[in-house]
Amino acid sequence: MSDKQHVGIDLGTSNCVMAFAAQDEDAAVEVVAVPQVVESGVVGTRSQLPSFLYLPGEHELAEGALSLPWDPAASFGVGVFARDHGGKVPDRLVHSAKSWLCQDGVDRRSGILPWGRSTEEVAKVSPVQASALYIKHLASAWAAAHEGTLAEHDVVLTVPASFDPAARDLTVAAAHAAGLADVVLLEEPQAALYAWLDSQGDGWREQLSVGDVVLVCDIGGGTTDFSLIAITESDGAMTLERVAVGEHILLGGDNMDYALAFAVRKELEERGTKLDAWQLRVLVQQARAAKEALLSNPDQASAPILIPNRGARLFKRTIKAELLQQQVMDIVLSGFFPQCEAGARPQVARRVGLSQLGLSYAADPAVTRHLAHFLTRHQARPTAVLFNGGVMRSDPLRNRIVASLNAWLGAEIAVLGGADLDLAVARGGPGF
Amino acid sequence: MEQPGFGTRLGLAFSLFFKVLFDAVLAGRVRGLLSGAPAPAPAKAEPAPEPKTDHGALQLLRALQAEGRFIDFVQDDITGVPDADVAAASRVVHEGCRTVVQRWFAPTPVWPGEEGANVTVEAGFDPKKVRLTGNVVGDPPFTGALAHHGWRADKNDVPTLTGGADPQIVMPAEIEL
Repeated sequence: MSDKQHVGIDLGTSNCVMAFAAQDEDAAVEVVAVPQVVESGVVGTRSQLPSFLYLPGEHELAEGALSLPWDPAASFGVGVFARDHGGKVPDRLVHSAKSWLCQDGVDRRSGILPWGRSTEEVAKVSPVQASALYIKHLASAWAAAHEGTLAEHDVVLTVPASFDPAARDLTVAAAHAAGLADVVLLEEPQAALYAWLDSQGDGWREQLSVGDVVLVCDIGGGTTDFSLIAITESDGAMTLERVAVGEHILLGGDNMDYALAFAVRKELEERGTKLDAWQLRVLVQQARAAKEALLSNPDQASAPILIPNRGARLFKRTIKAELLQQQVMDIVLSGFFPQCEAGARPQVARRVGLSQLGLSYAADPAVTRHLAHFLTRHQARPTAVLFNGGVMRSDPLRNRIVASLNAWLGAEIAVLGGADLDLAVARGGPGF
Repeated sequence: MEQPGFGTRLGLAFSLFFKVLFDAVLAGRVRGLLSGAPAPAPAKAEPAPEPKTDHGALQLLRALQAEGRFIDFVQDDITGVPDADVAAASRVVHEGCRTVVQRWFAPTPVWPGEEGANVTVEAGFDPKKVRLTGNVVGDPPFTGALAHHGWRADKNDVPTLTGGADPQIVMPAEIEL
C-alpha cells in the first residue's frame, strides 16, 4: 500500500475546501479542518477557508495578531478574519480572486486587487498571487496536521468547466507559486458528480446508466455554472465525458441576499430609519439568514430582521424589520428563477467601451433564462440533473428548476440527490 | 461550627462505632480528636498546577461577545425596557451564542428521549451521567420520569490564542475612521 493520498482542493470564489482519501479502494473521503485566524490574535479551525485576503495597515493590528502556527510573523490575513474584518475595511480586502482569473481585459498577473479606488499605501496583489496564498495556506494546514508535505501527494485542483485555457494556466501557476509542482485540474461539475457517485455506493447504477446525460447545475454564492456530462463506456468501464459547458455566469446567492436587503432597506427608509455602512452589512447577513429560513419552511409567513446597534447598548437601539415569505417568493423565486419558455434568452448587457468597471456581472438575474439558453444553444436533452452549490440547498428553488426542465423537455428528469452541496466538489477531487 | 440535632448525633454515634472498630486510620484520628490534639496535617498537597495560560473562559466570553453580543446583553440595563425590545435583542444573542456553542462543544443529550417519558435506571448506572431526584430509596433498577435529558459536550474545540491578542480584552474598542 502506498502512503500517497488523493487530495482534492476546491478553490472556490467564496470558500476553499480541502479533502483527502487514502489511495486504497473504498477509503472514506475526509474534509481537512483548516486552522486560520478567526479573530485578531485567535486561531481556530473551520472546514472551509473563506477565499478572502486582508492586507492590514501599518498601525492597525497588534504584533502577532495574524500569527499562524506555521508562520508566527504572518503579515496578511487569509480566511475568516480576513472576510469578517475586511468587511469593515473594504479598501484593504481582496475577494473574488477566482472570478478575476477568468476576467478578460485585465492583466491577471499584475497587482490589481483590491480592485478600484484605494490609497497607494495598500500593496496590491494579482489574482494569481491571491489564489497562490489560499493554496499555500491549505498546504501549510496540511503539513501542520500530517507527516510530510502536501506536494508529496496527488493533488487535484478543481476549476469551473467554463474556465478558458488562460484561466486554467493561471490556476496552475498559482499552485506552482504555492509550492505544488504537480497538480491535476479537474472540472468542478465532474468533481461534483464523482462526489455523488461516491456518496451512493453501488446504488448509483439504479439511477444512472450508459447513455444518460447529466445536467450539473451549480449555483454558489457568486457564480452560476451549467454543464452537461454524458455517461459513456470505454472497455467496459464507465467514464464521464463532459459534452457541453456554459459561460461562467457571475450571479449567485449573494445577489439574492443583496436584492432582499435592499427591499428591506427601502422599507426602513420609508419609515425614516437610515442605515450606515456597518448596519447595511448586518442587514445583508440577516437577509441571508431570513431567506434560508423562509425558503426551507414555506409555511412560515415571515422572518424577523434585527439590526443591533453597533455600540454596547443592545436593548435600546436594535432596529426591527421583517422579511415576508411573499417578498422572498417575489424577489428570489420570481426575480431569479422566473418561469420562462424553453426558447428564452437572457437579456444582454449594454456594451461598455472598456472593461474598467470591474467584474462582468451578469446583466440578467434570471437563472432560469440562462439555463434555457444554455440548453437551447447545445440542443441538449439531459436525462438527469445534479445540483451543487449552497443556493441549491433550497427545496423551492430546486423544485422550480426541475419543474422548468420538465416543462421544456416534456419529460420527467431524474434528480440525483444526497450529496453535501457545499463540500461536494472537494470531496469529488479524491474520488477522481 | 454546625451543631447537629439529637437524631443526627445518634446516627453518627452508631456509624462511628462501626467505623472506629474496622478502620484503624480513622480510629487514630478520633483518638487525637478526643484528646484535644490537633488533627495531623493533611497529606502534602499536590504540586501547584501549572499557571493557567489557555484562558479558556475568557476566550469563550470573547467568542460569545463577538458572535452573540453576550456581554452587551448582560451588561446593558434591562429595567424598563419593553418586552418587544428584549425579545429583539435576545434573538440576536440566541443566534450568535448558539453558533459558538455548536462549534465549540456540539452538545448532545445524555439520555435521548422525550422529556416526561417513563424511564428505567438499571443497576450499575453512572451517577456522573444520571442524577436521581425525588424519592430516592431502595436499590436499582429505579423507575421515574425523564425530567431533563442532560447535555454532553461532544467536543471541546477551543481556538488558540496567539501572542497577538490580550486575553483580558474580550472585545476591543472600535473606532470608525
